[in-house]
Amino acid sequence: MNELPKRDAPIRMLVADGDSTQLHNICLYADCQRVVEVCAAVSTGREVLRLLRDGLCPDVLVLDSLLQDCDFLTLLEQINDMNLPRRPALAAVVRTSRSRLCENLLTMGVDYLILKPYALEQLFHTAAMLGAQAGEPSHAAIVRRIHWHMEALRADYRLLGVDYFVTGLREFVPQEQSCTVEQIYARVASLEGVEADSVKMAMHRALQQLSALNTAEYCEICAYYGHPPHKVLTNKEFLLWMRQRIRRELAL
Amino acid sequence: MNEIDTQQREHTLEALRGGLRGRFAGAFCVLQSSVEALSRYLDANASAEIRAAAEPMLAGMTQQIAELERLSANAADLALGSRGLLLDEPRPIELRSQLTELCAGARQELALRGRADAVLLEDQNPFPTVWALGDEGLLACIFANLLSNSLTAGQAVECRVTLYADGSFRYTDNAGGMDDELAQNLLDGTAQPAETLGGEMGLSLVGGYLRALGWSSTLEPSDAGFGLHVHPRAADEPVPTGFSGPEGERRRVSAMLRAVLNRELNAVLGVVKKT
Repeated sequence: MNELPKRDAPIRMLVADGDSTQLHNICLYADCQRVVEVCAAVSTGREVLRLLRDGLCPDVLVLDSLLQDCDFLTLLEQINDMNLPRRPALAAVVRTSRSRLCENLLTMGVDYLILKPYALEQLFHTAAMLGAQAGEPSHAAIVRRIHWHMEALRADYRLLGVDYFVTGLREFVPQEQSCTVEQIYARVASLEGVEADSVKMAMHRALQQLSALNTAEYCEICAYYGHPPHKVLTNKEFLLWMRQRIRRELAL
Repeated sequence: MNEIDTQQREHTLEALRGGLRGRFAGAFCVLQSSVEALSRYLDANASAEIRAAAEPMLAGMTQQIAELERLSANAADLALGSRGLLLDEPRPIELRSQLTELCAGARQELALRGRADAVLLEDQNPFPTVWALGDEGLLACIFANLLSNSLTAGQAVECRVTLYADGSFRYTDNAGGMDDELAQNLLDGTAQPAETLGGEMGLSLVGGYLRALGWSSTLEPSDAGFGLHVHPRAADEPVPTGFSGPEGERRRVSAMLRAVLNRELNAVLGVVKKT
């Protein structure tokens, strides 16, 4: 079996929320996963600006749109005016899905909108998806592409199999040489603290769900293998296609 | 960066506060996150015995939060009345792509919950795009409430959205229907849910959303159940945004609207347990 590479540094997230309990929740959740690291958790816009000015370089900013000390639009303008050497991705947490509001925020440079109340799992998946910038194909860029494809497939984070696919692909995509699907099950199982068979079955359940949704991306994978659009792919087929596609996209 | 003008800025700042609904959303976010973080922490650090003892309690709390969240959001919308629901002027939205997205989102949510219900979109409109003056968020609320009404009426329900050539659409189900007069009164706002048995809040809300948008509707029951024909205000084709815009933007909007759908279904059918 090929030695699987060690995981690079996780995606760094700066989170700002005026509610101290929520900040505590986010930090506690962050301690129990490996993909996203909370590099700073602050309660005011002033602190966000100070940290960025002091040279903190998060991959993603998750900003609540109601911070007590500032007008959110001004905060966005100030961040945009800072001309940071590497602009972090920016997610705004909002309380309403009003379309004009969404349009305005997107116009002002927000990359993604998260509607309150959100699930922490959703918050962390979004951060992982946004967290890496384009450019050098880094571990973070791989994670971003994985999440991008998962979103195109409408993969639902409430399915354990989706988590396992993400974990498996994070390990599998950077490898130059392919490994067997059983090796991936074993690796994911050891990382997630479950049995390899559970990983296999959860992945299969996730693929059943993805086939039922029949998105354009799923049909494309089926077409690649010469299958009809609704066919449930095997775990191996799915992992191999994703690995191949992401490696090609990132010119690995 | 593109600047937004002063008036838009005022609207945006106002909308960010989110009113009564926004306050509830903030509070429920903290509650829900506390349960989620605690659950994750126990999964990672507690013994199997402790996890087994805590799991049903946490699941119960999650479900209660989902139900309260829906109730509070609906109560906030009822309290606001149709005038307060729409701060921005309605704007052109592309109906086909939105209805397609909503039906697809509903199918996904139902599948996750192991339900055998069907949500179908029947497209009888021959034109490539169907523009209406409206609001994506409120359309999602209309759809979510009609759907949850149908689903609470029975198992394996078939819900159908038919998009007609004149730009109107009709929602029908086969869940048995309800008294026409009561339904009409709820839609018109002449009967309040509190005066009825309490299960018709959804239709009152739908009536409020329709009035806020300036859309008309007629009750057109199907052979086996409820039916509502909605006549949106037509609009000229604008610069594409939202669901008609680029792929990236469509996804962002989609995630927002699915949150609206989830809120209804989490309360009515239960929160999806991760498996």
